[in-house]
Amino acid sequence: MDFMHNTVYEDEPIIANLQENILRIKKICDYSSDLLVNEINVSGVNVALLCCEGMVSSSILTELILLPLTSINLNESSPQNLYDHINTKMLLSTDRISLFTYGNLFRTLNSGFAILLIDGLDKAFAFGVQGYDKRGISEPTGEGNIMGAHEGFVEVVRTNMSLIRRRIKSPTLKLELMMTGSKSKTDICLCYMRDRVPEKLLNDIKKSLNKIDLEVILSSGYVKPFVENKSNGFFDAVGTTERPDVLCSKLMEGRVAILVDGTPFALVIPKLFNESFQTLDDYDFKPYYATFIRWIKYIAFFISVLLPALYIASSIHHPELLNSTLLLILAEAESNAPFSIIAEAIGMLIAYEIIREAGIRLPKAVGGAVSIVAGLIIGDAAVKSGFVSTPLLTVIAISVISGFLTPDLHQQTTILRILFVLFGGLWGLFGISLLAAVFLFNICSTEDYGFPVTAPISPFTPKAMRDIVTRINFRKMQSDTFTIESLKSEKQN
Amino acid sequence: MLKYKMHKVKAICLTLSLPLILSGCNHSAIEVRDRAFVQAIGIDGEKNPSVVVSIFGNDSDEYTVYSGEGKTIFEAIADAETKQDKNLFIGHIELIALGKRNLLDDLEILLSNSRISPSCTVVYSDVNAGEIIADKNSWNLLETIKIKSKNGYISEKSVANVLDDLLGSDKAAAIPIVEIDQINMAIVGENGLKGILTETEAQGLAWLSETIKNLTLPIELENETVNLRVESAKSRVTSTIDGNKVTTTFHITLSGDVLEKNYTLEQISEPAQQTIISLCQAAVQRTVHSLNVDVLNIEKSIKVADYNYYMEHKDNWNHMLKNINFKYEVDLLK
Amino acid sequence: MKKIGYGQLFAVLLLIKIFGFVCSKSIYSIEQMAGVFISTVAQAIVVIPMLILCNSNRVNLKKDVPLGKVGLAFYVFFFVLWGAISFVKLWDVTGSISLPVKNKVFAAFLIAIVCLYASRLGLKVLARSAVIVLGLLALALAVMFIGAYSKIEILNLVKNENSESIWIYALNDFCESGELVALLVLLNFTQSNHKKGVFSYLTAKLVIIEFVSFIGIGVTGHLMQLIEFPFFEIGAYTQPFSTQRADSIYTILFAFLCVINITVQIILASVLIEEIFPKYRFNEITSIILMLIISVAINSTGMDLSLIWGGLIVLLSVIAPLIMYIRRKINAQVQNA
Repeated sequence: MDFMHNTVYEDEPIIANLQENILRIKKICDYSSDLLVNEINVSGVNVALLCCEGMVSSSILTELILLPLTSINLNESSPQNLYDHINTKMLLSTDRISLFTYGNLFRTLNSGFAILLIDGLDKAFAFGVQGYDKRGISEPTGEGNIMGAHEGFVEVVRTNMSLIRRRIKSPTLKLELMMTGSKSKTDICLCYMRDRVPEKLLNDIKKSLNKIDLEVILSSGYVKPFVENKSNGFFDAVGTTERPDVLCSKLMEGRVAILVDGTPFALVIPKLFNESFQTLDDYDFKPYYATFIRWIKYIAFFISVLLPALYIASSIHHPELLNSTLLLILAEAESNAPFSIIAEAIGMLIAYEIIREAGIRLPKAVGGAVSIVAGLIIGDAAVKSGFVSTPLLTVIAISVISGFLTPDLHQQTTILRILFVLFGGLWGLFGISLLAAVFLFNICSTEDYGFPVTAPISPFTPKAMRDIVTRINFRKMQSDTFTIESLKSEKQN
Repeated sequence: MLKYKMHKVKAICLTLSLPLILSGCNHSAIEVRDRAFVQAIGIDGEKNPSVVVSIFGNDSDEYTVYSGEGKTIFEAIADAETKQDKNLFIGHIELIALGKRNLLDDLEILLSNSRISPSCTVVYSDVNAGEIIADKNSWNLLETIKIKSKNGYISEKSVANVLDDLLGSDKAAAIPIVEIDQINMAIVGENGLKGILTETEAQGLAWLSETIKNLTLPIELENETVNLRVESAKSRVTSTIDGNKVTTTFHITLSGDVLEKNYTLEQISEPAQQTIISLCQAAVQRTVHSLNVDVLNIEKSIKVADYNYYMEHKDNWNHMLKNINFKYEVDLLK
Repeated sequence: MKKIGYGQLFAVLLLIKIFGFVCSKSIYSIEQMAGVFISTVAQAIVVIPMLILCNSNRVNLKKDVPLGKVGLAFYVFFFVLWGAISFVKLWDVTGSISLPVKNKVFAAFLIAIVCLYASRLGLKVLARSAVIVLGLLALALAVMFIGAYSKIEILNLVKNENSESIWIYALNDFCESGELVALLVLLNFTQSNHKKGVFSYLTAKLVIIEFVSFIGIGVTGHLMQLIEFPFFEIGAYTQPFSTQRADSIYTILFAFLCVINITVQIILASVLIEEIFPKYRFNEITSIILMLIISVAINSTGMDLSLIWGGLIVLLSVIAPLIMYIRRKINAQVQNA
């Protein structure tokens, strides 16, 4: 039998004989070097303590498991008596599971548990004494904040669960652990408020998660496609966040969150398009300032997507839109450029994407050099040599910087920008309008589990619009509890 | 499997149709570097038009001029285009100089299909409109017109204003006329120039038909001249009809202050009103009584007052115009 | 059956009406404004049988429409013809506003592709999009008002001797109101508050048309007689900034209105084709191809369909619903007896 690919062990019951048991375990994992087996005698009964090297804390293992075990002195030594004694009279670890199959044994062993096998018993104990190295809680890289907490999720799902539990102490917060991935057996945690979440939404999400048939789940991106209803929606219907405070605010609105072990990004279902323009800082600032910043973001999104296209469309097809002074500057700048304005624009956008991607992928030490080389040298040299015109470079720069205000929409903004440039160059404002219409229809068709992404703008919900047009006062928020139930699709109403 | 195949077929069809879609794209799209932007145009020629176009330069001192001829205005522009290497774009025209031609037809043609902006400035030349554009720097000409209009010496007229006047019953309009070394106001009709207004008459016309801002008006008192700084002035015309008697009243409301500190507004109020009224009377006398034209919206005010009366006397408009009584009300606000 | 809210019904109806208004060559005048008012009042009366029909019980299109499938075919023909006329209007307007696409048929092809994609997504998506496009319309009207505010001359607000009589304008407006026919089908997809949606639409339509007409008359004066497409020309005359022109921006609004308008017609035609031929799968494509063919035929022959069009509207929005209403009343009485 090829033990490397042997998955028959999943439901195989644990063998009572200790030596055969240990042999079986070693054969299943093909004598993997990180399996540590310690055989000792506890009150006349042979036991074995198994753990994965590097996964357990030696000090906790010694203090909580080994020392108490070795001090056991039973009146009548037998495997069952030892088991009952440990089970009923000793604590040893707050996280303690009884195991009956090799599938569960390996799952817990590879999750950092210490496994206690007792000679003569067809069951085992698993003690939670995890001590593997993990990243400390730090500020999230992608979701910066000024006034909010500087804590972000980490790669360990249980730590993330504690970050949420610390913020919502209500017993109605439910954290439901499940496992996906036939090989990776990744822990995922479903988080929701029992009294707020729509039951249908929860059931539908659970059904979707049950349909996942992957071998490995390495990040939340593996789970996301399964919980997104419409695969050809251009905009995301499932949100992600690295911040526990943001996640908690979403949970309070009746949404469901999915934490995936191994990634600090939690999934939030459903997501609304307007949330891409909201940050937690909005609720720390004064309402008038938060409203101002929010509108800046709305405008910045349109600038980011449309400015290069409008510039090109007006240069080629609608010069009457520009005033004469601007037009002359433009004409003079373009007169020396060797390429057509569309080619220039698309070339610059692609060059920017190359530089940006290089900056992310390069090691940090070298990454800084990219911005100097790209920004100062290439950009400056390109303009001085006449390859590109200054007005177009300025427009592209403004567009790109505006896109930084909505990092959540980065993927969409990048592609839309290029497409609009193409359509604007080919067919002017008419082309831009047609493409905008296509994406408008696409985003209006995007809904997740019956919650349209364009809510509450369309379908229009006046109460919810207060937090779109302005940032509503906390005094008003405390009197009206808003949940996503009110944003359901028209069909479900 | 079938679904996958259908997706594949759709993807292939879409990819193949892309060149088809893009092949219909605009090969005739003109890059901005291949365009020359016309700032001013002069049109002459009673039968076949000849045009002179002035192209925007990078500086107010830089301008290039090309001329062309043809059977239509656009043919003439196309002829001018051949004299240089770029496409002439007329959407940015700021100044139109018209010679002895049918102004109504010319402006109608230029305005059709939104080719030019309705707010282009229009001037007239009784000699040669093309020469004005060729000899004078059109940047400077426009600036001069704006300054003179601001000072109330002439009224800057746009294509929309001129067309609106020309479409009235008397088919006449007041337009700035550019002569060799000066710019005045002229009354132009279907058949050409009807008359040139004096400076006083032009000022009166400006008071009656324009919205004036930041104008300095000299007021003659008994012993000296005092200056009234007019911040803004608006005029309105109303008509009343009593039997066959038509009375048209011009209401002018202005706000301003005296420049000389030893005088107050109350002190110069009456002389100021008299000064303004006398300017207006001069304008009315010349346009209505002498040239027998309505460039002051009198026709519209009579229509508003009594549409039926207007329709009854429409065909005898010139006679009706001469028999109107005119009144003037000037309100000076602080 | 998919549902739309009454607010979405309002948005869809208003946008398809505004498209027709935008493409109209009829000059704006005091008589035209009065005619539109009379026509709106008439429409408010005409929609009552439809509202009663849909309020109590949904209209079963297969059973309730007079002449059954033949009657449904008439409706299909109407929507296909409406789509074709919309394409013809698009070609008319492109000549005036100088669209960047030189080939008119290609412009129609581009619009057709977008409309086909939108129609495949369904009425619910279209209705949601219509609400958002309504915001764009409001913005365009606001820009128009800001530009026109200082240019309106009260003296221009007077009777126009070149104008037709009030009753002709009223009849023209009524016979241009294809949305009355669409209403019968759309009401079947509307959840509730039909009356609110329909009467809000009639009020908004009246307000917008009167508002734009008022601005047009006030700003253009005598120039109205020279103007081909008053709505676009008003855009040219009401520039908010003196240093540049903003009339090209109305191209954006026009493109959106055109797409929404034609997509509605494709969806309604395909819904009715499904009632007639339930197993036929290419409803949307068939509808759009027929629209394009008919539009090319109309454009090349230059035929005037105003009489046929007006007749169809009266037949399908007034007579047919009235017959349905009477039949339902009679059936109810027979059942009670």
